[in-house]
Amino acid sequence: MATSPTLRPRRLPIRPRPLGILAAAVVVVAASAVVSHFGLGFHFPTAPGNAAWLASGAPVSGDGAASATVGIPGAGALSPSGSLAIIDHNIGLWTTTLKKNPNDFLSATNLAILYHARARLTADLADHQRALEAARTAMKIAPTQTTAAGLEAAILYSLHDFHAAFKAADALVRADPAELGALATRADASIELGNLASARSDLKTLAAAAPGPAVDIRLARLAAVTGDLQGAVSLARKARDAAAVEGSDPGFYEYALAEYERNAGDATTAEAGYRAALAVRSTDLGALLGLARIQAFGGRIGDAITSLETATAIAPTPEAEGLLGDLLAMRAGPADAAASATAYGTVRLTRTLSAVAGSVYDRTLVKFDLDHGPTSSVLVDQARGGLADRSDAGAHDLLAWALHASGRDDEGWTESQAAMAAGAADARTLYHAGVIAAGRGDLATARKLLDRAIALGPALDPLERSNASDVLAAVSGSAMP
Amino acid sequence: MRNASKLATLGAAMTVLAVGAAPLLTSAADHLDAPALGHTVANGAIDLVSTHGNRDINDLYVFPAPHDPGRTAIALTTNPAIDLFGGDFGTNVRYAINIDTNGDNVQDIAYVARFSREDEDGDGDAASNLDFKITRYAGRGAVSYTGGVTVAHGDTNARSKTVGSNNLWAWTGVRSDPFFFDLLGFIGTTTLLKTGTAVGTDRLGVNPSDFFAERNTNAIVLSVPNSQLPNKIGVWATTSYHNESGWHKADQIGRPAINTVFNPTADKNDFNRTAPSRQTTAFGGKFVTNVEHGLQFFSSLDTEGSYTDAQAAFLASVLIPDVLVYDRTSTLPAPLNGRALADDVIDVELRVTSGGDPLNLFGADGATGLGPNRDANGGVNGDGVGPHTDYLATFPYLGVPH
Repeated sequence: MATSPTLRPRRLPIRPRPLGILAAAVVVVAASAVVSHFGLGFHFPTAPGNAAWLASGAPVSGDGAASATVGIPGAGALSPSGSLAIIDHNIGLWTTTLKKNPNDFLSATNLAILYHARARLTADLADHQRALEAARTAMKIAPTQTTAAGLEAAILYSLHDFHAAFKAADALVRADPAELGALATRADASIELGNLASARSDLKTLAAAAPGPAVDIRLARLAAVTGDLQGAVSLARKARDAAAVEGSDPGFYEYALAEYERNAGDATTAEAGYRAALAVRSTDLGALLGLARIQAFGGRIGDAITSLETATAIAPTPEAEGLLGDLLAMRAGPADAAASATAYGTVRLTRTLSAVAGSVYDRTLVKFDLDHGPTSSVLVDQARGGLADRSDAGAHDLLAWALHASGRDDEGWTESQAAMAAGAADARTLYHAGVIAAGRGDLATARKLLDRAIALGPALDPLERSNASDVLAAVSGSAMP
Repeated sequence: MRNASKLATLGAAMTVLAVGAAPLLTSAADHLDAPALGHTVANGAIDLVSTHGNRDINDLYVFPAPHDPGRTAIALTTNPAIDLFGGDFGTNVRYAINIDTNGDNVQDIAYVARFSREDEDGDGDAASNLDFKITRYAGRGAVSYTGGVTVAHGDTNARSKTVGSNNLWAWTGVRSDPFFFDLLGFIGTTTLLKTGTAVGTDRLGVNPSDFFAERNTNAIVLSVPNSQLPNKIGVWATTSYHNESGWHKADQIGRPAINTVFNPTADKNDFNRTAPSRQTTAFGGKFVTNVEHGLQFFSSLDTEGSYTDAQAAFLASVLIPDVLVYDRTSTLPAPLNGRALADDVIDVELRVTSGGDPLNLFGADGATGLGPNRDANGGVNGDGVGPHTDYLATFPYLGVPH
């Protein structure tokens, strides 16, 4: 892997804020019954441009002239749409309304929506907790209204409590099949729980009742987890294009399409997509992480580190911190070893700081430990426990990798086969399966799987790609049957 | 118009704005959640339109411009959810203020606002701040939106008003929402009346609270020289949106809350798409029938009993077509004669809808002579909340955003 031509010491990370976010999650979890915690906020993106502007058939005489003689009080005072600042501003407005009328279940519901959406921007689990509290406040005031209950299901999903999310959404759909939002959450949860047939059925219903980008992007997710990487890209592109017309959350759809393009191996297009998402929201964590992966894949390690430092300064997600640690170790500059250790340490702190964080990032943390050691049978137990909880392809793959790390490749191969039988064809699953096949001495299968994984380019992170290449080289150098 | 489903969009009560989440990476974070699969559910009907707040109308105001004698102010507020999801004007949406100048309920003048990121004025900031353009159509072109002339253009949220060469004043952007209403009380009372099941604990008349006191709205504000308008005009606003199959009607409003109160969910979109000149006869006259039935239902709250068929029919003939009539020479109150920002139209409509006769229309001594006599009070005479205090005396009249 090439390194950046301009190596420079990593800025010493300023940790109080990121760690503060994690710590805040602990505090909020501990205070989960407190409803008065409506103090922060968030906001959505704006409609994109439209070339139909001049399509009205009207001649443009241009005789409107701006006058500077009369000021408009307060004009332009608000932050732009899509910014975290305006979301926080709006949370403040609804909090004021709720304080004036504590029976206002509408404001409580809106606060739940806002905090939930804020969490999408910040990855701050405390925001999810606040959203959950607000939703449950609304449900308590007005038990017959289903909006807050639908939100509760969606928030539980975001907190990776997939069983609870499914149960809540399922109850709403059974009570009223027209609750399409709950149906969407039920489909989402079904995918994560490995109930793909159920998810497919629900998404088919949604596509017929409410066709549009929000459904197409879910269909893309289903395509991806069942191995149709190009199908996922096509659906995500369709969703992105439709969202652009509708003006709905263009940043998200650009990011989502880029993610599927990266997972399908298209680094160039994916990078453009991540940059488009960041043009909408410069603090987009997912886009920053994705961009870093593309940069690292292209050998621009310094750029990737910069992107990850930006992301981790916003929120120290274990995925970003882990990759940051890897890249710093690869760059091996004067201060990089210490900075890498700090990043790894932050990942390891995640589980101990917050039970919620440990739950949300459970697979990330197990995988991190497997890749960065030391390995232990505890990791196999954790992976097996994860499979018992969620029997999707990802759980089988993680258990396979844990078994491999414990030298149990035959058992690992069984799990890899289970993952691929469920349809998984992503680079990581293929890489893990290829390494396990090599460990079992099945060199032809190993080479085939590793070839496929490596061909997907930026879908593998640098360490994974490096290891896959090493194993492939070893396998290819061995006598083939 | 600010109908029930759109109020619910803002209030999220009857709106199932489901934020179904779909992480792309199961091991990772919440940021990856898919965006809202928005729709409304009311009485079992699914309304997908409400997800497009930028084409939803909140309110229409027509009033004598304060401190600007000789001018008529027209304000159209849109997008009920900007305090929730943010939101600009739609770049594929046509916002039309239609003006009938001869009483036939067909527009003779139309001011149509469009918005763009194409940097029409060349100031380079359209990417962050939409440009607006207002086109004036006249005669038959006011119906077909053809042959118009651009009379104003500029930036949204500009720090100064735009003055067109025809002396039209224009401003577009975010303002404090001038509307005032005890929404929670209204939902509590109407839901209980209609379903027998309470929602929350609020009722009209119980601890009134103005749900809109801290709300913002998108606004298109015009000030037109009276010399360009006859004394009496009829005004209504419409929105339409453009997609790959052309232009489509979206929303419509004349007087406040007519569609909200009287049409059942299944008829609301039909009403929004029916021009005022056809509202009395379209769909077999169902809009008139809906108003009559609604008046008789809500007036049953009055101790004097429901409106008679003839009384209900008379009021329906006033309310349909849904056009906001404004006569500079008239002394009738709003919303029978224009609507100013501080006019408590909700109180008037609650009173009349629930059986009150404040204008002494009914009884032997009433203007119509239709008996029996009714007093000025209805079953519900107001929501208990009054005008905001942030209205401006000068253009654009709507208050500073919260």
